[in-house]
Amino acid sequence: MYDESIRLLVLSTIAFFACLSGFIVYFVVLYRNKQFINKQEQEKLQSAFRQELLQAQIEVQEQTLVHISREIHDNITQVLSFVKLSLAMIANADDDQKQTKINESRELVAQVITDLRDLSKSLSFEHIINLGLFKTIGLEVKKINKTGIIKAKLLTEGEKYSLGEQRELVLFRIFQEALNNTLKHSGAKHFKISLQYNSEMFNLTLEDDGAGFSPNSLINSSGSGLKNIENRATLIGAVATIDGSPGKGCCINVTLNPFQQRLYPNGTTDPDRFS
Amino acid sequence: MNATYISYYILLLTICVIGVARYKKLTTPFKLLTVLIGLTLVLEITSEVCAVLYKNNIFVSYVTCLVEYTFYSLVYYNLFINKSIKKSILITLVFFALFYFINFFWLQPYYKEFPSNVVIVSEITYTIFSLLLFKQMLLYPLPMNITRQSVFWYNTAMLFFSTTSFLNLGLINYYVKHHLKDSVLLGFNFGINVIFYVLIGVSILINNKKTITDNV
Repeated sequence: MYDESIRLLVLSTIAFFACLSGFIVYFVVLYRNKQFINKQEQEKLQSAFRQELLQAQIEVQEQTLVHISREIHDNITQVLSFVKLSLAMIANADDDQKQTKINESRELVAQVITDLRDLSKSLSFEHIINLGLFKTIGLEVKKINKTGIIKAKLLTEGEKYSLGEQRELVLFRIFQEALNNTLKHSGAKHFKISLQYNSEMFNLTLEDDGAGFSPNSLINSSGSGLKNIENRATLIGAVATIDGSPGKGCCINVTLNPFQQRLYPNGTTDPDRFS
Repeated sequence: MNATYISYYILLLTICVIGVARYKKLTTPFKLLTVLIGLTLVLEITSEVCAVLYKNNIFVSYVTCLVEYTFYSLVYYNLFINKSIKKSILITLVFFALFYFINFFWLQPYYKEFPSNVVIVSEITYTIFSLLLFKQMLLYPLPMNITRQSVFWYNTAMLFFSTTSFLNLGLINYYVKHHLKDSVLLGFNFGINVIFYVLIGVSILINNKKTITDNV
């Protein structure tokens, strides 16, 4: 009887534990495969992010150079030429006129110095890092308003905080891309930029009152600036929504959880998982 | 009190001491687990004392079932990330309490019958929880060797113990029906408990809230 009980126990236990061990081993193998796939995906994502960041830096530099060249051509060269002419005319002027022309020239040279100082501030994308997103956009808004092509307005809500250099650079590129689209294609008169700093969410909203677009055009155009905005937002863990309809302008909204995805661009794990 | 019981209590005490020593380093579910092990030790000793003094320790078994279910549910509540699963755990806790009191007074009265109904319900629930947690681990794998993850050892222990309990109950029924010698079964029971608590001990030993790989 005792032998029978032992045999029964041993057999059932072996069968049971074989199944249980099989399950655990299978789980471990599956888990390791998942880890491997995840690692690969993360590396891919990191590489894409680095590329995108580099691309954004190059584009910011290009934009800056275009802006500098335009400023030198349209503003500084013109002013200095005027100063040169003005000074050349001094020889034939009487004393009062001489003094007036010298004063005018001095004021113009001072203006040129101020403009050059402003230009030097925007010589590289590093000023975004130094000034932060809000101030950099603020400077851009001033520049746009100075041109008189469009009336830009910058609004902010909540207490400002840093989103990290890389993400602020990408957000600035998104802003530039949107502004370019507005200037080139929309014919808008107004451009509104809102930055909302909430404790759990950051929001960048870019609105214009231009020609707008058909939603289908966004789906069909794979290489458009608006598509770029969506892709860039994804890379920093943000979500971009683009709304627009013909004749009703365009609204781009970029939402980002500043704390949840802080580690994301560095390729580490998504911290939301076990919160 | 024989050597088997003493070694069992020493094992529980050792795990409890490890848990208390590492308490500050532990994540919430493993802190709860440490408290549970301490309570289990107290209840097991109380149960033994009642068995010797009053020849009846069913009431202590009832208390043990309630304490264990509550704590294990809370541990799982803290380990899961899915909000609907968390909510379900709280709901099952309410239903379990309801069923527990019905069983306590009417189905298997606390003064004469062992709460096997409650044990079966608990073990089924633990099995489901552990399988769901394994699923969660697969959905969100961590960049760390699985053997260094406390959640893996804890969940393996739970799956092992809860599923083995069915085998155990089946064997008890068979042995009673066929009047077989139960000393073998007692040894088997002891073995299961030792493996279970060793796995729990490992999970408490390696758990560390500073490591990002610890799931909570």
